[in-house]
Amino acid sequence: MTGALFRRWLKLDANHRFLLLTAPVVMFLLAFFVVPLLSILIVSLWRTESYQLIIDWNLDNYAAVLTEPSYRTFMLRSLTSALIVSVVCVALAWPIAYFVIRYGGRYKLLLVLGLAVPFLTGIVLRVIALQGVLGPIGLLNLGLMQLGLQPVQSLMFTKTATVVGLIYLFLPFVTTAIYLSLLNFDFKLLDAAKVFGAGNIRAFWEVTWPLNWVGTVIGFALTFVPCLAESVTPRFLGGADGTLYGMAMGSQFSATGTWALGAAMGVVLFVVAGLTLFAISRLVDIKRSGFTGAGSRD
Amino acid sequence: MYLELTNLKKTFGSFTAVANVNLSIDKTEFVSLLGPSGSGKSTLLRLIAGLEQPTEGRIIVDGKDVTRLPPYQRGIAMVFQDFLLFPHMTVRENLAFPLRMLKMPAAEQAERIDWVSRILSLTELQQRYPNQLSGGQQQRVALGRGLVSRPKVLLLDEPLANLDRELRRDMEIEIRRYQIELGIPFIYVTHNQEEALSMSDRIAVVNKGGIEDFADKSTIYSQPKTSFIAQFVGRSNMFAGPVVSIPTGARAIAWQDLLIPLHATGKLADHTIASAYIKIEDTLIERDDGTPAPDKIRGRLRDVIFRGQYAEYLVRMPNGAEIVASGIDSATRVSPGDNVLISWDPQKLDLFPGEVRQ
Ligand SMILES: Nc1ncnc2c1ncn2[C@@H]1O[C@H](COP(=O)(O)OP(=O)(O)O)[C@@H](O)[C@H]1O
Ligand SMILES: [Mg+2]
Repeated sequence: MTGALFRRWLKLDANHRFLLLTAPVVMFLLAFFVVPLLSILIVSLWRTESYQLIIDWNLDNYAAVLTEPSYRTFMLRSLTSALIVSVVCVALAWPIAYFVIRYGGRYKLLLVLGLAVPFLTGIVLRVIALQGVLGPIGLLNLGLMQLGLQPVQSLMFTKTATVVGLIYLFLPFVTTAIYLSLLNFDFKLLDAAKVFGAGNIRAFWEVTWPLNWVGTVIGFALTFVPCLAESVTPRFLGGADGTLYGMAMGSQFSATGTWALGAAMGVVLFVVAGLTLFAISRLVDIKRSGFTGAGSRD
Repeated sequence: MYLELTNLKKTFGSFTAVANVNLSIDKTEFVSLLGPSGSGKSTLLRLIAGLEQPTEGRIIVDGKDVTRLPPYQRGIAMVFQDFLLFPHMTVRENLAFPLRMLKMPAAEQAERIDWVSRILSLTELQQRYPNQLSGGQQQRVALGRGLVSRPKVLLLDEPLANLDRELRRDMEIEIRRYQIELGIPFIYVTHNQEEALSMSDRIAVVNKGGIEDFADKSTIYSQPKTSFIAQFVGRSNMFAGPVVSIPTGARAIAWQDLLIPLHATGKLADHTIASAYIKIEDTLIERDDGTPAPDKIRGRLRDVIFRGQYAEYLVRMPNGAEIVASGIDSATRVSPGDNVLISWDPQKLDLFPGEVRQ
């Protein structure tokens, strides 16, 4: 049986083999990526009226998304908070990952897996836990009062709270990305840098940073892109003026029932995220990434 | 002296990696640190480079105490065993790195890079990345990066260990030439005695973190100071056992069931354990034609291994032990299976008291 299959496989030419091998991946991408995306694209060109989708090809939804000031505000707000969150995450993840790699010894893996522990509870519970920390009588304020300090009045239900919540959510991803990058980094290169005249800090910027730049960029993108679409965290922590783009988009599909508009918002988000990824990828010069096999040997 | 190590000591926890090392090296010297793997050679180099801080002792370079200076203030360069080229920089950028750190003006940098590229034939490779180079090319870039800043001392940590034999021999000659050209000391770490013997002026034999002897390479080779050196440098037959008096009035070592006569027993008393070494090239072999030869050892030639210029003769004693002799093949008309006689000049036997250290 398998023998017969194998003989038939041998008879195929290279093109057919390639097709057969890639078919599962192509099917998967079609089923879970292209088809949903296409359907959203189509719906975005329709119209919704009192919770009914009406097939009426037009670009009004896009006009609304791109011109209405509130959506523009939400998008700008989302872009800003995604940027802040990603930058802070990278800034926090670097020392954490570095410390774990250098001093984690044989507990390295355990320490990094530890970062995933909050994930065991699910996103809503984690956000609610943050409410318990940041809220008016939350841990933060209780702590401040214990120390005889003024409690912070309005941390909960602010944009700051959203940003803090998002950092808390995404820090593990960035840390893992940078950890994996550092795991493959040859720290002996720092010895070379030092012998050839670099101090500790100079050696870091000359060698460690550029050789872990790809990992850092991946960590950044892994935070930035989902942050743009994030809707749960701002809903629970953001308060009235903390609406983000992803949250506004979500409500088109639930509260207001304007699916076509929501779909248009989704397409715009997809394009923005795609452009961001493209811009980020331009920051990477794979030849200078230190990855072997980047260039051919002749 | 140009480079002085005084009582240098380095411990890692309770483990002593370098123990009380004293070395004085002249400005024009090529010195090899020769020792088995794990003997502390790299640690010693890292101490000199400033990559490790000594537990005790002092390091003086060109009259200046650098013991507490960080590596980047020492003006010492190093060629690492696994090259450690910066993978994200081209060959040219790798060569420029030490100069950039020195804040050298660009014109002078270019001049230096051209100079080093010329002597190491790197000119064609300047725009390549390290992963686009062969092992030998990477090694030349590593050497170039070490030389380009004209350091006070160049440290080389087994720089040829990853290269194949032929390339190694060429590089040995090259490296020695650069050392003479630059007029700075090279400290060359290796576990390969041929490398050490072919390049060095002096050799320091390193064992268990200490220096067994630091002397001229010919002295190290022909007058080993310790039994470790006798075992490690060159190839020798070893005879170890108790010292006994023999009827002629002299003494001998009882090795297996043979008596190895000794020339000068010095302070060795009867029944103490001693070991004696004879280099294989000082071990003579001839065909046994049956005439009595009381001073010679009888055996049977088991095999002959050709080494090009000379051959090695593996001789099995009646007791099962093996002795190796080497000589020019055409001069020795014996073939495997022959009965042979083994002998040597007793004055060439190196004798050490005590147990054999492995
Ligand atoms: N950073 C370190 N921590 C603990 N032990 C070390 C360290 N560096 C070297 N050693 C130990 O010191 C000994 C000598 O090592 P090394 O200098 O690398 O020897 P060699 O270069 O002669 O092979 C080895 O046993 C090694 O395990
Ligand atoms: Mg070593």
